[in-house]
Amino acid sequence: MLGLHTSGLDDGSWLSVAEEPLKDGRQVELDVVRSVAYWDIHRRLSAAERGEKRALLSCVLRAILHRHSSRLRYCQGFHDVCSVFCEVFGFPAAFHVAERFTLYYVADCLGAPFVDAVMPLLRLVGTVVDQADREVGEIFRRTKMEMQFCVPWLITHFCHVLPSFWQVARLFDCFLAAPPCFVLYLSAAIVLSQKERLQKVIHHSHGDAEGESGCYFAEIHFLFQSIDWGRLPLERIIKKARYLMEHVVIPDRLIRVAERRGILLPPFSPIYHSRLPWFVTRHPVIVTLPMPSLSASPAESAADDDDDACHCLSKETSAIVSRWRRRADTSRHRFRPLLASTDVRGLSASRPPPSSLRSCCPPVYRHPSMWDTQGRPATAVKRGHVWGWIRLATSLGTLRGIRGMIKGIWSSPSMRRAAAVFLFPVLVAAFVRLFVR
Amino acid sequence: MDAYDYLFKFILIGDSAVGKSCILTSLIENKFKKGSSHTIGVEFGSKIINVSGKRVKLQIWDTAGQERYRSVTRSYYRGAAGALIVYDITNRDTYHHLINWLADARTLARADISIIAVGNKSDLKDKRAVTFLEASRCAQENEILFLETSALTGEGVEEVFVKVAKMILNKIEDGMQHIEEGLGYHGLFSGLIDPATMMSGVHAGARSLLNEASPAEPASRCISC
Repeated sequence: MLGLHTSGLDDGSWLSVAEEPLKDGRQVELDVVRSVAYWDIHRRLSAAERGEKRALLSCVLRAILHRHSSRLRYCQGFHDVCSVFCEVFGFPAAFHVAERFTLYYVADCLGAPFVDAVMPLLRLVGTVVDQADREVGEIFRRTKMEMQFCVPWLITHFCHVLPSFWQVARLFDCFLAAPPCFVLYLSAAIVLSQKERLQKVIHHSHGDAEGESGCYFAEIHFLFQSIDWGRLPLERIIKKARYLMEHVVIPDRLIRVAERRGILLPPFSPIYHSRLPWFVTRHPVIVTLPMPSLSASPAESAADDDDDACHCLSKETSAIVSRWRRRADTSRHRFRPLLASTDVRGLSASRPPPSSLRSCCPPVYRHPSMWDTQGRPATAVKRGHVWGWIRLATSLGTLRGIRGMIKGIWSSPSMRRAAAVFLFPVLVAAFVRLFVR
Repeated sequence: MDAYDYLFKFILIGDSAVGKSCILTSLIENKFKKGSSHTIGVEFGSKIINVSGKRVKLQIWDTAGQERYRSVTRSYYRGAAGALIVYDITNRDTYHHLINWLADARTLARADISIIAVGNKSDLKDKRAVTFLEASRCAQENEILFLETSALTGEGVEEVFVKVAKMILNKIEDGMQHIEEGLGYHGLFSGLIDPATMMSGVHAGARSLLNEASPAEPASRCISC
């Protein structure tokens, strides 16, 4: 899982960067101080144990943020995700697992401004809900509300809202075994599970549908905020989410539908790159992360303080995002995801993974040309050429047979007339199609 | 179902970890929630309070403090009738950012929004870094209200909300006088509160209509109805 190998995991190099100053250091500190207090397993901790856990969390958090400071910026809630791995793996494996989870699953929330990253995700959840249940979709359409209550679900992968660590661990098992878009389906499944309450609110809510959606807005937000997470039938919801993903609206289709509705995610979003290398084969895949130069000096990070276009981004990422935005605006088709197809159930167990996948780079680090979604990926183009030649060869063979048939038909006058009557509209249609357009 | 005369929409803004969520829980549950965590996105709470003989339902939107979340919380400013800008009296930086939050509220919310500066954590007297006097002077200069609270002891929490609600009520009554003086709706619109629009953040509730027997009746109505 996650392309990690159990032996030779740790060279300890990450620990050295954890001590260095960080741009969002103050915010990280504030959040770490308040952490390790929320889940049920934290309730009876002594002060010393709590301090120890906070120290580990801070270490892991700072190391990840520093190591990827050229691409990722801290956002509140990210420390919740890290603390899940700290609880499960402890030192030092937590760092490696959390780092990979960050790069392959939550990179869009950390790498792009929220307008570009989180808002489209909310709309994608809305799309799944709409495709799965028109009635519920209609409620949201009528009240014109964005699914703002999903924000903590998506950013923290539910670990901020679930009170029981057992539930969190169960969900994270699912996330790791599924493509990154699974969190969208899970959110949609939870929204759908509240259908009855939702209808009740709409029924009893104040005001008519057009005039006072403001009232609905608060009530619906409150409804989802006050879900009794402890009593939620989690297993049933996970099953439902998987059903949605595999049968109702598969990720490929979701992305196509989203594109038609003008929903665009950052080009490096994990949702677009959901074919993770370790899902392609059942063989253990070891992915070596590209190590960015660790010399991202504090001076450099201080220099982009006054960057007001994307104030929360590093220069490099904001440049990439703005370039992508420009392209998305100008191109007619917007951009098409590169690796969108997903098959969680494993492809073939016997074939070893292709060597190119061994060093599968996290999407945030890929060269922008690897996101270039206008042209098809190089291998597909090559395959297209081969198919073209094969088709030409077979059609040449069949042409000869057709010529013989035509000769036979042409020899009898009645068949000639029938053929003319039949072929005339076909020829006209072909002409119209070819030249009139 | 609770009956109320008016419905006001409030937002709680301010730097992170100044105690916005704690103020909200202190108001609604009358207790301090120990070990409460950060807010992600926006959370919601509502309470009915009595303000000068009127029952006012408050819809309070508690926002996340981190800069990055501003694009998410931005849409909540639009309809708010009142804003509470919270700072931490033990942390001078949060007090300095008050001006930024104020500018945000002034540009993003309605022009006539009622704003109060709230200095939280007033129980930590020995760690105080911002004096009462300078904060109240600053509030006066910027023409906003000011109070200090402690979410831990609950001191001053309800007063803050009552104070803002009172101010909004006064504005509404001014508007009503305009109507009575024959200035009509134009007077009301050019005045301070425009309760006729959905997004105004102020609604008048018709108490007489609120009974279980007629759930189909619109329970909350605008003054214009």
